Amino acid sequence: MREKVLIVDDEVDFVEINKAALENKGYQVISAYNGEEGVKKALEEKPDIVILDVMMTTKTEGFDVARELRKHKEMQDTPIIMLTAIRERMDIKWKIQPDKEWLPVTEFLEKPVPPDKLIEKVEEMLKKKKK
Amino acid sequence: MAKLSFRWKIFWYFTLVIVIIGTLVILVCGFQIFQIVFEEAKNRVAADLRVAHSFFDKKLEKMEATLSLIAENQLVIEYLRKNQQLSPVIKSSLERKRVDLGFDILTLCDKEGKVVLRTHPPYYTGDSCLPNPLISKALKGKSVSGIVIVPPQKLRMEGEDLVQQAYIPFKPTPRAKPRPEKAETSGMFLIAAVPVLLADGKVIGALYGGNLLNKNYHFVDYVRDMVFKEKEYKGKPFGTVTLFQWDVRIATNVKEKDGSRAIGTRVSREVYERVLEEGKIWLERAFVVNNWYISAYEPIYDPANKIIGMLYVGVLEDKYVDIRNKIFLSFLPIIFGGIAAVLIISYLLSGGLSKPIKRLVTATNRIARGEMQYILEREKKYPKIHKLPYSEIQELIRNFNQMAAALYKRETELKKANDDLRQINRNYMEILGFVTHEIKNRLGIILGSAYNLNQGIVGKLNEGQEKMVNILLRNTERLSEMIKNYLDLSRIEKGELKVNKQEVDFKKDILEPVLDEFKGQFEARGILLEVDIPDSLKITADPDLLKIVMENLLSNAIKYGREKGAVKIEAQKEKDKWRVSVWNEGEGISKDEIDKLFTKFTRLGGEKFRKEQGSGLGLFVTKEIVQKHGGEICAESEEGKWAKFIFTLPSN
Repeated sequence: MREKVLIVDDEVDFVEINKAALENKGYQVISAYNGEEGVKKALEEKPDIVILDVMMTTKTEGFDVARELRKHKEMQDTPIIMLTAIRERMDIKWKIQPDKEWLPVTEFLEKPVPPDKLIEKVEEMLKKKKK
Repeated sequence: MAKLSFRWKIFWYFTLVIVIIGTLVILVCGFQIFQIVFEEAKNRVAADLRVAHSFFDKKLEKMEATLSLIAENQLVIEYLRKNQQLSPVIKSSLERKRVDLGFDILTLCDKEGKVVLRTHPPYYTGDSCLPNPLISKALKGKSVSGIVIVPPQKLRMEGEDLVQQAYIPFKPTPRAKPRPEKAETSGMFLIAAVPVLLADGKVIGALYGGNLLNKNYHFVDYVRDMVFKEKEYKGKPFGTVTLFQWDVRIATNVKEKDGSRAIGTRVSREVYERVLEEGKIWLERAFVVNNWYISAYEPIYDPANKIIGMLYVGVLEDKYVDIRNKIFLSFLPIIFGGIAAVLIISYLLSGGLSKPIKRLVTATNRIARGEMQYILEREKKYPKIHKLPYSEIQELIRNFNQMAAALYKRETELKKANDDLRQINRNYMEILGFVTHEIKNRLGIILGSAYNLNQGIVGKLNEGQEKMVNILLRNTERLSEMIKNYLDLSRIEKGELKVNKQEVDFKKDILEPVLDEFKGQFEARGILLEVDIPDSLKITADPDLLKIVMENLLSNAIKYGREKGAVKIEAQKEKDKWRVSVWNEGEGISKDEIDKLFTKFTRLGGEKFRKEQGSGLGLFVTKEIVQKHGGEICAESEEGKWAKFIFTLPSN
């Protein structure tokens, strides 16, 4: 069965590029363009992995989405790759780390992410999940 | 000595001047007072001398008058006219008159000048009295009187006791002019002589009488009592009168220490020469026996106008010294009062002088402390600068105020200009940051699509298409890297480069993620990578910033490294720091360029690197990050062979 990847990003071009790359690798890709849609599609489609952009309508919308997803039992073990622009970290005094309560994501990836890097990361996460 | 304040210095200068002037005034005044008092005393003594002298004249006049009356005695006239034998009646009558009237001698001569009657034992007669000029004048019909010296042989004729009385032995007197004699043997007489006249005026004889002055204390005491009202001053005799026969004291009220009259002593050579030889008055202070006297000597002339002795009057100096001191003492409080008043005035004046200077000092202090507005406010508070007493200080304060105002204005302007510039720079940096961030995102997407094309994800490309896509990919990557450096720069320029330190495992947390990133590029250029990093390299640092460092150095190593060449990453511990180096085979860097490497916008020049141009910011950003971590960075190279970048980090 083809594994399902959900990409949540308001950047349509970004979604398109990575969708093409992931589909080329044989993944089924579902896309959403804002947080609300992302949560809705995740609950409907139950993806194997979620790629989530932090900054959409607000600077931290991605965090809210991640927390919302973790509230649902079926989404509690699904890996979430959070995309972030590290250079924006200058405005934040502390180091951002995945945190069960506050930042319930599996991995951070720095934007811009070349498609091959993203694919590599997705493969790695799914492999881990299977174990 | 501690430095005096301006005020005290002025005050001390004033004081110094006042004290000098005061001392001079006291000295001059003291001297003047002394002079005036002394002059006054001398005048007084000179007047006393004249008065004393007049007593002699009066005495002589009286003697003359007395003798005239006796000469009119009929018995005497008859006796001389008839040239009779001397009757005892006349003799006893005249002797009685001599004693009654207080004459020492009373002698009658005939018209030839022969002595016919002496009324004093031993009643010697028959000698001529013509040598006496007074008697010869009387025989010519004139009443005369004067002071004369009677030699010893004549004296003996006048009376044996008079010889005794006249005899005065000399006492040794140190400052006197030497004389061969040992004693005074002749006598000094007050003599009056009158003619004895007939009714028709014919001279038939002469009558003379006199008093011996030698040891005649009664007379000098009388003169003294008449001249000086007060006898003593503070227990000392106040005024003294002395008669000198030539230079010998023959009658005086000056007493020796034993209480005896100081006769027989002689006058000093100084007085001798002035009075006896030159015939002038001597008027000075002199030490007489025990005390200082203001003394006056005048010569005594005999009727032949020959100097025969001196009259002396002295006044005790003590009285005048006391007067002088009294005046001086009454004067001193005025002087000291004046000095005190001047000192107070000068103290106040020096305060007035130093006040504006003090104000200036306060003002400069406050301006130095940065209170720029101080002097301006002061001027508002004290608007009467033009009322200050000194034009220089007025000007000084005015200039100072202007200067302070100019300074304040300039500082305000500078501050404003600086603030403006800073704001402009901040705005510029914010825009730069925003723009580059946006560009970066777009570039990411372009890169992504180029990648998809390159990977044939959307269909296989032909050779020409693939070449074009590669060009697109490569240039977009370079652009992306440049943007990343610009973003770093904008953070540094904004001062936002903050180091968030944590425990870092260099190999695992930094090197591996970066190498992962560059894996494709290493492979593309066929570069052989050697890594020699000890597992123990654990430091406290900001991993994200160190990643930037490694990214920049590795990116350079790949960019400038020889194709299919080697790149070595090494680290060694050195004392308290770690030394990390990135070495690559390649053309290397020339010596000139090494120095400029780490400055902003420096790019390696030369034809060979044209296609490798970057932003010129990577190494600058790298240096900034290393320095923020307390380390240093440098480069070494052998041209044409290799280049090496070394940075240090403090170990834990």
